[in-house]
Amino acid sequence: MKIVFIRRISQLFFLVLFLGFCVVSTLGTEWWQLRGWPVNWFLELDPLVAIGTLLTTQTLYAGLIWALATVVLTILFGRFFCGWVCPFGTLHQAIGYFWRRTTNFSQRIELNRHRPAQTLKYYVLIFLLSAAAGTTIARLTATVRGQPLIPALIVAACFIMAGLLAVLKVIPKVEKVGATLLALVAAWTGFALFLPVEHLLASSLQSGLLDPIPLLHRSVNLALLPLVDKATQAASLAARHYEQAWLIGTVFLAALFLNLVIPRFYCRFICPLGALLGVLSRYALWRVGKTKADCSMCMRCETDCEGACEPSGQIRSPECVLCMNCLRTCEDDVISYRAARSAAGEHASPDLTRRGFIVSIVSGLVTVPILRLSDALGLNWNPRLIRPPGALAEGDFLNRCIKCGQCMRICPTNIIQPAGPELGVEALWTPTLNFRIGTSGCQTNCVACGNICPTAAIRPITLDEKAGQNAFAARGPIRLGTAFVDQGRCLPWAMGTPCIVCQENCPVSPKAIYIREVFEPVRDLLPPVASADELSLDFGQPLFKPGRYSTGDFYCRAGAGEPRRIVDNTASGITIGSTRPWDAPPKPGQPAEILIRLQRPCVDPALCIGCGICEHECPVTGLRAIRVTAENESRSMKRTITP
Amino acid sequence: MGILILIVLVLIGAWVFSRQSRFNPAILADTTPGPAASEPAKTFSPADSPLSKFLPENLAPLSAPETFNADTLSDKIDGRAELYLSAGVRELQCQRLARPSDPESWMEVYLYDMGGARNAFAVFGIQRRDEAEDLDVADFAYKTPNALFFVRGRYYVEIVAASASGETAADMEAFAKRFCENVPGDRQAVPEAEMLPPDNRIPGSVILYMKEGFGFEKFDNLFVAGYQFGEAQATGFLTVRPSTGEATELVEAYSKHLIANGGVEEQTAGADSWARIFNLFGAYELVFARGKCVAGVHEADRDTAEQLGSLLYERLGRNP
Amino acid sequence: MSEAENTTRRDFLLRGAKAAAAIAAAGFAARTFRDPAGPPAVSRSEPLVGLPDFSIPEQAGKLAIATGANRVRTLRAAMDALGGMGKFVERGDRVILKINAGFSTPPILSATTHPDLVSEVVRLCLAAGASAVMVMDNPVNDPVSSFELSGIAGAARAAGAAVILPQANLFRPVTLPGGEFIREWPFFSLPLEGATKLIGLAPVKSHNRAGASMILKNWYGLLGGRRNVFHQDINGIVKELAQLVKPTLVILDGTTAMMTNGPTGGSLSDLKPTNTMIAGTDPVAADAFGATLLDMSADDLPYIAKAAAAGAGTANYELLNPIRIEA
Repeated sequence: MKIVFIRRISQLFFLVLFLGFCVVSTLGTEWWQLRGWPVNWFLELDPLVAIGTLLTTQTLYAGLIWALATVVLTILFGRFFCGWVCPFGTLHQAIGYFWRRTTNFSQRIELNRHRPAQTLKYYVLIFLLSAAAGTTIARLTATVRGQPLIPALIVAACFIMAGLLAVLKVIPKVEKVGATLLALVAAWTGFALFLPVEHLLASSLQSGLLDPIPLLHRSVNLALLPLVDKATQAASLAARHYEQAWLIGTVFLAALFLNLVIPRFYCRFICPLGALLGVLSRYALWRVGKTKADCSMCMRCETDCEGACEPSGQIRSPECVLCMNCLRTCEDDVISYRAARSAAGEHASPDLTRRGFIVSIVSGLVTVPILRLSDALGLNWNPRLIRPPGALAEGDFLNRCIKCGQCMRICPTNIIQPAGPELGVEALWTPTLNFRIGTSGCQTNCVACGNICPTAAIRPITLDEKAGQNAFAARGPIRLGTAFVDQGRCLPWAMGTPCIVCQENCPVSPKAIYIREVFEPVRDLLPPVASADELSLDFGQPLFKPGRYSTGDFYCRAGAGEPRRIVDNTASGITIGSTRPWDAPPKPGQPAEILIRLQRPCVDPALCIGCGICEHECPVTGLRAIRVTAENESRSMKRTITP
Repeated sequence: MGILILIVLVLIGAWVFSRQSRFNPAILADTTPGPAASEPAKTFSPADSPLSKFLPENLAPLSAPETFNADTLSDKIDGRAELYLSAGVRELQCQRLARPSDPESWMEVYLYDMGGARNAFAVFGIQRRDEAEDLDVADFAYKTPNALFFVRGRYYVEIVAASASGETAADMEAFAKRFCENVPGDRQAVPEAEMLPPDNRIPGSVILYMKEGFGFEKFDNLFVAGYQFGEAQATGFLTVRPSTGEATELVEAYSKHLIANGGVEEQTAGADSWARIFNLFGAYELVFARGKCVAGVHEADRDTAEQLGSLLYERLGRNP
Repeated sequence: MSEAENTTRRDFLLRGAKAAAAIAAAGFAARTFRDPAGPPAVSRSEPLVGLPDFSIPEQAGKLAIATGANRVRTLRAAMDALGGMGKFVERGDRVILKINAGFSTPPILSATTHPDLVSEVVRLCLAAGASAVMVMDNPVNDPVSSFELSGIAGAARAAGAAVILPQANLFRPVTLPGGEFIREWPFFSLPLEGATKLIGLAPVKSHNRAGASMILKNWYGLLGGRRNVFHQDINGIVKELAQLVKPTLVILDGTTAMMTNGPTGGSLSDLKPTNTMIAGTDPVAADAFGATLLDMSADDLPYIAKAAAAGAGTANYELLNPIRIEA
């Protein structure tokens, strides 16, 4: 069997597996539902997720240990993940392959030639990782404070290392490397001793925006599968809706269509994961290369080269995605995958310029602190950003969320939505709750989002913790926010119309929404009473539609005594309930008033958990008359509104 | 090479398939209750129980057996572990038993493997309860209203019942009998216990100190028993040395220890000074060697000390 | 071997060494930073310093000693003497009962807090208006078995209290300022952080290692981790626990004292009816009096003097003018 054929089988296998995982990510125990399918496996294999969260949190959560397998295999064999596993890469490769079937030999060579701009992806990677590295750097400098011995020891270690390297002749320019190290240690010590950088630096995990695995998960979960669901209703009963799907879908389609310009455009120019794996493959034991320095230079090897890595000349190993096409197309049979370096020489590391390197590091480190100047994590927090139950405090949350959309796909009521840019630049496409969309509020017996989250940005809570029962009785339930009644829009408050839908639907026991009962005069002004008897009144002229006041919510006050409930009306008069006749029938000429009994909803913030069911059910369907915002959410003590 | 990769793919497929039956807590959440306190659903088969062959017909295991070694012993008995550790405990096995008809009246068996019969006797003697009734079911045994304690071979066994009733007492004795039928006894391991004079001895008062009896570091393997002479009480002790010479040396060392602690040596009444006697602030200590044995009296008045001393001396004369 | 082959070989070995080093570094990093449990509900970055103070200043230094064989009756008498549970528990309070459920032994062995006492205290708290009562301990034996077999879980639930088992996510590192042992040590503290009142409920027991286990030694059941290391200086750790834990009320049950073979006992003959119930707000004084039931004095228990010296209470309980009643 040809190795290229095996590669295609592998790519197809992983693509189908990936799509399968996306499809089964709905709540249930059928074989086509979540069960125990390892739906996060690709995210866990992704070393960019692992390294990103490692930098932001200094921990490696549960399944992310899988990334170690990818890292080890890449160190040994090169970028196999890009060419053999990555489902996004497979899509790009397939589109490029079908597109260039019609192109001729020279066009193909032009399409797959190496371009200097391919280094862009390394700068993207450096930018994203330095944006994530703030807390780690702050922690490192903090350890030095008060312990001046540590920098001294490190300086000594640097000298010894440099000396050793010089003796072993591993690095050609020892003085330069040594000086750089010294400068870094000096800067570190200086910061540590004189400038409290931990208050300055901050980290934010933004790699998920461009990391291909979260990107593809997000695109399939939020833009592709909802279309399929809508057409077939196979995986979910109600159609799924996602805000921002247009933008997510546009990014996805743009990435795919760019293959029509240059094959594997995304992989070659943008993909930060590819860049990371390229760096990791630097010492790969097995590599693609020529067995002889000279050949007929037919250039056939470059016609299908997926990585655009110049196998015909000095191969650029970090760009090689191990597609193995060059092995197949070589006429002279001089290209192979073997333990030795290419006989024609190779570029073992990407052509990064020092300026580009420094620019991307500095801009990465500075971007997050500048973004935080908005104080969006402090007093200027956005109450419309309602996080799912179990979400960490906002700073910790942004350190972990990779915007993969797994929680949004699994949410049975479809209320977890990708946040738009209006909720904060850093929060783009992170999960937020929207109770207008979807089928209900946050369900009390569901903890799916935290149990699917691959990075614990949403913690895997139990139902006990969510409801605040048993062991969690003292802490109380998890609150997502608080419902606020908009008295200018609420029917009983503003329109004199009875409605207690929100109170009826409140799932908390005792109910967080309670009722204030009031009697208010209706809008119609009444003339004096014309005639009356035990159970009725007549105004002697046509005034209202017959039956209009017969709903049971209307009362009539005439003369002394409590208002009496109206059971029916004619065009000119009303009848009251027979159980409570007038104390004395009103005399002609006396004034009378029709009242409406209103039950006005009020929210008890000590009981409200912010589940949003009231907002979902509110009959004012546009801008709801009761809306949840994140005040009082339990993940932050500073946002409390109850003592 | 290609085949190898295909095999890896098949293995990954198999792994994915095997994983899907281990449900994600996300979907389990709405079917299972939280971790509320409930009886653990530990499964065990009675055949696995180390105690199964000792069970009388009417008893059945109620819980899975638990095993503890010297490092984990305090996980079961906490602060009491030191007592067993100093006596060389190797292993503790525990299991709860009950009549299937009456699981409320359960009992728990603590089977200590002490490594040797002397060690077992040592922990048995030190923990002996005051209001105990001696039994003849094992090498050494006694019972209290709700518990039964015995030594058989190298094992020290405690059976503790959740209630004090005649039925459980009978079940506990039945267990002890079964145990002794299956495990060989080793009464001979503590011959010194027989060498202490039986007359005037308080029943069940024999204790073996493996180390540092009476706080004297050279008194190891020291057997001690309580004696009653009318109103007066005294403690007799006995230890056997490898040779006559070492016995004499020990008497000398103990005498020095007593003097160092404020003891005053007094003359013995009899002309033949077979023993040395010391006055320690009003209480008398008597010590002598006979053959390989060192014996004596601890904390008695002078008359009782001499009376018990001669009993011991005579007894050791008959039992060389 | 040609020069070229030699170079290739050397290059491969060098690359292999570097690759191995990179793999080792990656593996080491993955192992070091692995965190299977995920982040806690409360940020772990700042360990808790001290615990909430549950004591009520106006009630300081109260002690009541009731004698009688019925622990429900003696408890009620002692609480009446202190002015009733309402002095300690108010409407809306979330009350934690730190009981002793250390062992999976039956109630008759008196190695654990008696279920009758648990249910009566739960009832009194609820009657005083508590919104929730929770019973907690981190037992020596298997937690579920200990709570169930000691009868405490059943009694607590029947009386309307929740049972809090020592789940890993309820622990948090706690530091006692100036402490020698309790320094970022895992503590069963999350339930306490949400509570408003804390009541200690312990039986009177002898303890082979500590001399006796009563109220102060019972706080040991709030420690997590490999707490056995503290057996090396049991008096030191009990003293620090006395400094750290400031309860609203303590109830020491001396209806039956375990005189010998503690803390597990095992035989009814280890027990002696001492027919005393001690309730009060000074844990040190309660223990000092409890020692007399075990035929000891406070001087026999070094941790009492240490705790008193550290300001956790007074060892001379007579100074508090204890109210003595018969019930």
